[in-house]
Amino acid sequence: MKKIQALVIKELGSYFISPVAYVIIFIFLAVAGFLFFQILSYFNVQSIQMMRYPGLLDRLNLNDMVLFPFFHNVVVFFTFLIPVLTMRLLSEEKKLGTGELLFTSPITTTEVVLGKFFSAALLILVMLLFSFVYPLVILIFGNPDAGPILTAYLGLFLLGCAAAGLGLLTSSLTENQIIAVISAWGILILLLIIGWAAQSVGPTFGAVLQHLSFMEHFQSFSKGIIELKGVVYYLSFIFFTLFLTQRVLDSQSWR
Amino acid sequence: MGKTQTLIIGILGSLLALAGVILHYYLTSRIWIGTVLIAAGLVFLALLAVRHFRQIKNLAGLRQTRLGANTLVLSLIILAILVLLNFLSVRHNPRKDFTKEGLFTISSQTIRVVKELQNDVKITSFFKDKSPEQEKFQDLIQEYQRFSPRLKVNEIDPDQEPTIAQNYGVAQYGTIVLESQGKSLKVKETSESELTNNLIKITRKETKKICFLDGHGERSLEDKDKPGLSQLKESLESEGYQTRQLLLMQEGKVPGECQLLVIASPTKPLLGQEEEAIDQFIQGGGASLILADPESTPELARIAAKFGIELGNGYIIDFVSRIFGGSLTMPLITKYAVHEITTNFRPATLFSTVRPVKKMDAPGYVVVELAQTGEQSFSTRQKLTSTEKIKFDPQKDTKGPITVAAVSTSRPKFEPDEDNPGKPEVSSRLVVFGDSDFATNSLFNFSGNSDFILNVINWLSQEKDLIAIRPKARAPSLVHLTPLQGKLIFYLSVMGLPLAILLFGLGIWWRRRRK
Repeated sequence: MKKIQALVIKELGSYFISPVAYVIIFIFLAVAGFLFFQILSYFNVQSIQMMRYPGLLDRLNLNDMVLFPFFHNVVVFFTFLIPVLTMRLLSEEKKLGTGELLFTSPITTTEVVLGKFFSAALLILVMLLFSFVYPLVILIFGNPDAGPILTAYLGLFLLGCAAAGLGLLTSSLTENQIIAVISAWGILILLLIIGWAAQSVGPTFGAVLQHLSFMEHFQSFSKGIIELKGVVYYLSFIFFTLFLTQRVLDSQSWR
Repeated sequence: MGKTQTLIIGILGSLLALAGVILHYYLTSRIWIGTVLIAAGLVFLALLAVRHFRQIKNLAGLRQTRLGANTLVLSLIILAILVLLNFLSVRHNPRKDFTKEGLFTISSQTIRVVKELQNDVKITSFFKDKSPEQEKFQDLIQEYQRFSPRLKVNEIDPDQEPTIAQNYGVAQYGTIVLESQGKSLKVKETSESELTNNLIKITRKETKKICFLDGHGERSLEDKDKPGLSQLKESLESEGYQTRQLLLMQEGKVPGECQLLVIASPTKPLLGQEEEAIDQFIQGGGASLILADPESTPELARIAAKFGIELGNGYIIDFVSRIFGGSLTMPLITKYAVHEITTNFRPATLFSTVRPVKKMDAPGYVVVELAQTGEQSFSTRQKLTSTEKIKFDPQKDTKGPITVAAVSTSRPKFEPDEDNPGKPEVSSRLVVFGDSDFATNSLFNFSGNSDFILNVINWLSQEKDLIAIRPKARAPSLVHLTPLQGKLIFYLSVMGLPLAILLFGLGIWWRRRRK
C-alpha cells in the first residue's frame, strides 16, 4: 500500500509540474463553462418570457432545462479528455526505457498499474471539483434539486475512471502516445454509440449492447438515480482493463 | 489437486452458472433459484481463478507459450465472472432515487398491484420514436417491470408501422394498449395512476355488471333498430363490462352485483316501491345513470330532484343544428364543464328532443352541469307544430346556453388523505341526461356521442379498488440573474477560473525552465 502511495504521489507530481494537467483542466473548464453559460442564459431568457404567463412558470425547471443538458453535453467531451491524461503513463516508460527500472524494482506490476490508475483518478477528481463551480452558481442563485447533481457527478467520476482504465490499457500496449490516445478514442466512441444499434438487433442482444454502452448508464445517474447495474458495469470495466494492463506489463518479462 | 480436478471444477462451475442464466430467462417466479445457481458457479470459478493465479506464479520461469496460454485462460475466467456479475446486477438491479420528489419511484400501491399479477400483460405503446413522451413512458414502465416479469412491453412507432397502429385502432401518439387474456384496454395518458388502474381493470377476474332497468318501456339493449341500445351494449362488452336487464318488480331491490344502474327513458310509470328501491340504491353509495326524454315518466324527475338535479319540462330548440341539416330539436353540444368525465373531451355531441336539466340546491350533494348547448338555443314549452314558425318568446322561454346533463356526487371531490392514501370513499354518484336518443343506435356513432356515454359509464362504475396516485412532477425551480450578476458569473467562472488555472500552470512550468 505504501508503494502504491509513493507511486501516486510521484505521478501526480509529474502531472502538476509539467503544464499537462493545467492545460487539460483549462480546456475542460473553458468548454464546460461556455456550454454552461450558453444554456443558463437561454434559460434566463425563457424565464423572463414566461413571466407573462404565470401558468407556464411551473414548467420551468433548472434540473431538466439547465443541468441535464449541461451534463449531457459535457460528458462526451470529458470522456475524450481522459485518454489524453493517461496516454503518457505507460507508453513513456516503455519509450524511455524507464520501464526496465520500474519493473525490476521490488514493486510488483499490480502496484505499478494501481499507482498509475489512482493518480489518474485523483486528477479526474480534481477536474470535476473545479467544474463543480457551475452547478454551484445555480445552487447559489436558484433552487434546483441537489440530488441529481450529486448523482450526475458520481456518474461522471465512474465514467472518467472507466475511460482512464481503458487509456491505461492502450498506453501499455504501445510506446507511441499518439497511437495510445487514438486507439482509446476509437474504443470510447464505439462504447458511447453502441447503444444506438440496440433497436435493430433484437431484444436480447439489444439489451446486451445497451448494457455495454457508456451513455446508457450515465443517463440514469444524470437523472438522479443510482442503479446497481450502472455501478457494477463501470467497476467491472475498470477492473478488467486494469487486469489486462497488468497482464500486458507482466508479459514484458517473458515475451 | 490434479488437472482433472481443475477441469471438473471448471466445467461444473460453468454449467451451474449457465443453468442459472437459463433459469433466469424461463422462470417467472422464484428467480432466486437461478441466482443461487449462478452464485454457486461463481464460487467455483473464483476457486479456479485463485488456483490458476498460484500456478502462474509457480510457472513464472517456464516458456512464454505456456504463460501466454495461462494469461488467456485467466483473462477468460475473469471475464466470465464479470459477465455473470453484470448479468446478476441487471436482473436484480436495486436502485435508489435521489430526486427530491421521488420522480422515478413508483408508489407502494403500484408495486403491490404489479407484484400480484397472475397473468401476462402485453403492453403495446404507440409513441413517436425518441420523443420526450416516450422517454417518460420508458422510465415509468421500466420501474414497473422491475417488480414483475409478467409485463411484456412492445414499443411501436405509429409512423414506422402504421399497419399495427391501425389494427389496434390507435389514431393518437401516446396511446398505450394493455392486453391480457383476450381483454384489451386503451390508456391515453402516461401517468402512474392511469397505468396502474388500468392494470387493475385488465387483470380483474370478475367483470363489472351494468344493470339496465326493464319493464317500463325502456330503451332495449337487444333492439338493433334505431331506437335500440344494441350498439351501446356491444361497446360496453368490448370494454369488459357485462350487461343485464333488471326487473325491479321481481327482485325487490337493486342487487349488490350491479355496479351501475341505468334507467333509459321508461315511458310507463314506476311503482312506489321501485322508486324507493332506486332511491335507496343510490343513497347507499350506488351509481346510477338516468336518461330522461321529455316524454318519459315523471318519477324520474322526483328521483333526480333528491340529488340536486332538476329535470325541466319542455324541450330545447337549437338553430345551429340546421346548418348541417339537423332538425331544430337536435341541439349540438360543444361546451363541457370541467369534470373528471370530460377531461380531455372535446368533440361535439348531438342530442335529439332534449329536456332541460338544471342544478338545484341539495344539501350533501355537489352538482356539476356537465354539458351545455350554445348561445343560439333556448328551451321552450311551446307546442311544436311547424319547425319554420317557432321563435324565441322572451316571456315563456329560457335563453341558452341550456344544460342537457348534470352530475351529482354525495361528497366533494375525493382528496386522498395521508393516512390512507389511494382509498376513495364510497360515494353516491348520479348522472342525469335530458335525453336518451343520443345513446341509441340512431345517434351512437355521431362524432363524440359514443365516447361521451362511455366516459360517463366508466366514471360512474369506477371501482372502489381503484387507487389514486398523486402525479409527481419536479417542483418548479428558477434562477433570476440581474444583468450584473450574469456578467459577474461569466467573468468569474467562465473566464476567470480556467484562465487562473492556466496561468498558474504556465507559471510553474516557467519557473522550472529557468532553474
